[in-house]
Amino acid sequence: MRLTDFDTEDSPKLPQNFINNMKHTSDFDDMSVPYFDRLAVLVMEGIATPEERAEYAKLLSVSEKNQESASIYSKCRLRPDDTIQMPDAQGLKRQGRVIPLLWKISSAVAVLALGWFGLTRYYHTQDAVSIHGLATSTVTPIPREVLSPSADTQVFISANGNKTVSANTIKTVSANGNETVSADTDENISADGQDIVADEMIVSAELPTKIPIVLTDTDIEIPEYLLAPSAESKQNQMMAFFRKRLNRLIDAIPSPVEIVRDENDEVAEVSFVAFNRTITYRRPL
Amino acid sequence: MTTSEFNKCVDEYSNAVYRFLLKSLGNRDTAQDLVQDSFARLWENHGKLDAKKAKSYLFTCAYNAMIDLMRREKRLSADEPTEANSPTGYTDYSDLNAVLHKALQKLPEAQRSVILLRDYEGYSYDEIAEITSLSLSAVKVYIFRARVFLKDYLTKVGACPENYLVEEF
Repeated sequence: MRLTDFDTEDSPKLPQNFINNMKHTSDFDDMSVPYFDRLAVLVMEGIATPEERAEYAKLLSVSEKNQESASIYSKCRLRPDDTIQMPDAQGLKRQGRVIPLLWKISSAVAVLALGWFGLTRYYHTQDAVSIHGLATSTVTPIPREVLSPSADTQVFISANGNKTVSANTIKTVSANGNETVSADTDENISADGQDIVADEMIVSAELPTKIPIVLTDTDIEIPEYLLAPSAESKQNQMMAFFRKRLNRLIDAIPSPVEIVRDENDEVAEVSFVAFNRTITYRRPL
Repeated sequence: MTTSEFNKCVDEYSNAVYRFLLKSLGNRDTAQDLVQDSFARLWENHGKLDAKKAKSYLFTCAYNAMIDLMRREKRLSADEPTEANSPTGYTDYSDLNAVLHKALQKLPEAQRSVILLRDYEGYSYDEIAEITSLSLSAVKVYIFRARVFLKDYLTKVGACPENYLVEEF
């Protein structure tokens, strides 16, 4: 053989084994591993393409050595040893934070309870004002036992503290302590020196007008504007103060007056009971 | 992740993590310590973690802790002679799995970890890449090399019978 025999344009043909190995150099860089082993691992790992699977099956069927390799590969999968267990694995567990949880719950309950209590108090007050305003007003009722005047008697309290009782007899108590009792006529009887309503003089000094109160046998008709609940607490307080003094004035109303005229109808002797005392005086007619 | 979910993770994954670490390290005490560290880290981050990610997070923590430990030990024992990384005679072949685990100890740590994650836990290549912070190609290469090594090991020690039988993959 001469050297020129190799001098041809065609290069020697590469072995098929080398070409097959070259195909997989991107995935597995160890070129010393046989091509069938690469296919076997790919199939074993479940990442072989259908073409690789077909090629693997073809190579497996033609070579006994490949079958031996495939058998060994099939035994190379590790199996976990279930007898190996972590000692004291329960110690790794965490306990729930019960105390902080209870603390949060109790705090939330306390806040809710306070909120509910506050709201209840607020609305209860609102209801009391709106519904039971009359009951919560400071106007004190007039005791019935002090209503000694007859059914037709009218009592007038003037702004300057005077009290006027009109009926068959009309009694007027002035701010300076004078009391006037009149019958159907305008007759006035003064009671100078009698300390009847001395402490009542400051009672209603600021009241602007006369306030009539009609007394009946069955009940007391108090003008509605006196009892109407008002947001103006100052006025209510003033009215309450007035009502209190009014009761005391009514207490001071003397029993029915006894008038005895003399024979000439010139002098009358007037007697009445007030403040548990019998007051008698004479007055020229 | 709630406390009950964390405790459920302990029940379900503590043994698996422990096996993985024990087979990787070969030391029970160290494996236990690393399992505890892994669960401690899981608990530290349980508020930010979804329960579905707990398992992969646990194995990631375990793998990283193991790598850190190995690097520290390598630095400390740099001057000490190391065992040759080649198969040695193994006379007790009664249990093929024992032979494989013996061979496992001969593998480099990266290959050992990926093959354990692959075979023990059935993780996919992508999941193994995520746990070990390796590229997908590296995972493929490591698993391939580990398989070839195990096959060669079994062949050399004669663990496989003469009358072999091809099993379906």
